[in-house]
Amino acid sequence: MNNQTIIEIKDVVKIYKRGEEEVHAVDGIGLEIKKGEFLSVVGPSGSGKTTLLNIIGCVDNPTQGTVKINGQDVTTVKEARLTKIRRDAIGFVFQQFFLIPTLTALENVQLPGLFAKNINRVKQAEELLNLVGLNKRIHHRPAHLSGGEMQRVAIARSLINSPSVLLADEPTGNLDSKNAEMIFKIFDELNKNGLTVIVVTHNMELAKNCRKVILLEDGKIKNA
Amino acid sequence: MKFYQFALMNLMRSKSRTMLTTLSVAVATATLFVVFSLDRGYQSAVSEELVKNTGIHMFVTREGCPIEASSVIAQGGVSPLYIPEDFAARVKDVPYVKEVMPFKIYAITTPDGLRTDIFFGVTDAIQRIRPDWNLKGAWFKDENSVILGAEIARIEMLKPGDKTYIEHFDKEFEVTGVLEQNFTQDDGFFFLPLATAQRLIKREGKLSAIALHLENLNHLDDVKITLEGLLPEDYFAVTAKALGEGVLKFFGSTRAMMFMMILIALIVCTLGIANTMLMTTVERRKEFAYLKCVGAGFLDISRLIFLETLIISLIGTALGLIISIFLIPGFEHFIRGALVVYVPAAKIVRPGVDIAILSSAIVILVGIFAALYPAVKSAKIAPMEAIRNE
Ligand SMILES: Nc1ncnc2c1ncn2[C@@H]1O[C@H](COP(=O)(O)OP(=O)(O)O)[C@@H](O)[C@H]1O
Ligand SMILES: [Mg+2]
Repeated sequence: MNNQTIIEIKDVVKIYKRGEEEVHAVDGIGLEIKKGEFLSVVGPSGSGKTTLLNIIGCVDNPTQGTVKINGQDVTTVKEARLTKIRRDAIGFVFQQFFLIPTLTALENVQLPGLFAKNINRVKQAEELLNLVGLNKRIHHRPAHLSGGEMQRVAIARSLINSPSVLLADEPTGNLDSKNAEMIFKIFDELNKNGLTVIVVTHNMELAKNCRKVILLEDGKIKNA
Repeated sequence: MKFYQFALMNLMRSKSRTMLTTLSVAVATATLFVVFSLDRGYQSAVSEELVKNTGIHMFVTREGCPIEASSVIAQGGVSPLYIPEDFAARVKDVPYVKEVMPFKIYAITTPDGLRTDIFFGVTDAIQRIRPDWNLKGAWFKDENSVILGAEIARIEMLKPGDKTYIEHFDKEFEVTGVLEQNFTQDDGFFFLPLATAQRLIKREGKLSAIALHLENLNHLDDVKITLEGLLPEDYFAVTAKALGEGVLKFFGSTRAMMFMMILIALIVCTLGIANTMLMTTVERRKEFAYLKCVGAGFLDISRLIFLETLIISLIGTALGLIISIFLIPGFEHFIRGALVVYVPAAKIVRPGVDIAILSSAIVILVGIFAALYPAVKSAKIAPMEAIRNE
């Protein structure tokens, strides 16, 4: 495994203002994530997991500190450039699946490809659905899929633009334990094939599967 | 999957709403199309009937109001005022007047009200004045002769040499000639010798008006001035052009109302589209935010909204044009009854491809304008909104 650093964050602080009160959602975190890592972020609700993941995913801006993705500092770039980074470098999976109800599994997977210039990604989408074990369900609409299947479609979709890192925020939050395990198995497999994966979860059992676990509390890293 | 397919799929999500919006676009298009067709048709019809191609440059009439005058001159409208026949001879000597045609025109409706015919008592000057008056058969032989317009001849299945009984007068006439169709009101007229036409309604020696054909149009004003000096005070010399313009001026208020209708239709359409697109924006907030998380930019999302609007607009305008085509005959009939101004005999609603294109283009532009705000609003949604559950 090579030791290329994909994500490097330094002294990141995120402060939200709630009226008079300032909430330090993330309070001075530094982290280096290398290519091929499988990291899980755990911690109690409100500890800043989502905020941290959003900052890594270029969806939120830190109040202080720097975030580098593939060597580029993303805290100072323009929105158009951020859009490109989100499109080309990052795959996102959320607790809600955000599947478009009128599109089939296959079409949903192709969707992020519409925003990249290379539009025709049917083959790739089929392969990805195959990879998450849904080759028999590619023409089903979300309404005809179970929760676990929908999340697998969402994972396939997050990979259509070949990102360098997959970010998942409580991906099993809406799933039963059997489906949750399957999702983690898929992450594990993707990781074994070289994909960098960061999963936020509060399921400690599942987090143990990951090669590295960090525990957040009050916006700070508790272990290392 | 292509971008437009995605847009189409989004529209399918709320089928009834998409359909209603499409319908409002269709109604706006149909309104524009029909009103523009009427506007142009009416003006052309008036101009054809009173100004162009008639060979008549000027009328001597007793009616000062152009609407009244047009009605008396072109449609046999009833008026107690008349011109004595001997005036025709006096007018003939005016310099630059080449042809003079005294005439009597009137409409008669059967007692049951089902049939109205227009009778036109003329002299042979009409053959020299009217460029599009092509007679098949012969000119009047005697006082019981009649020449038929093409449409009348067709309906009654008559040809030169036939006898025809005219029930209004309880009298038989001989058809000496039939006119070639010229798509003016001539097609529906019965032409009679002037004296016969007068006698049949006991108006011997009385004229509806006198039509003048000048040597050339440069002397229009001179002739008008001479005539006004010659004629008594309550006689009017009006040019055909002034007559047409006078009628169109009266049409102006109707026109203003029609364009108000267009404006209202366009406003309703704009609000309809804006409302629909705003609603989908609100409903799809999280989805757009998610799309932004996976790399959709400002331009991608706004393009999507514009594309969805364009699809609705295109289908709506197509539908509107189809509806109009079915609506126009009924509208023609309705507007004839509803118009308080002079109604020409020829078709007054005249659709055309150019009008169809213009109407569609206006509606589509309005649609895109209506989508502007929703598109910008959607495109500005922060990706963060996908994640937060507050
Ligand atoms: N947009 C926001 N405005 C104000 N406070 C926020 C906002 N987002 C998150 N927070 C606060 O920041 C803290 C961390 O939130 P979050 O990152 O969502 O935690 P976790 O994902 O670990 O549950 C919480 O106290 C939360 O209430
Ligand atoms: Mg969270």
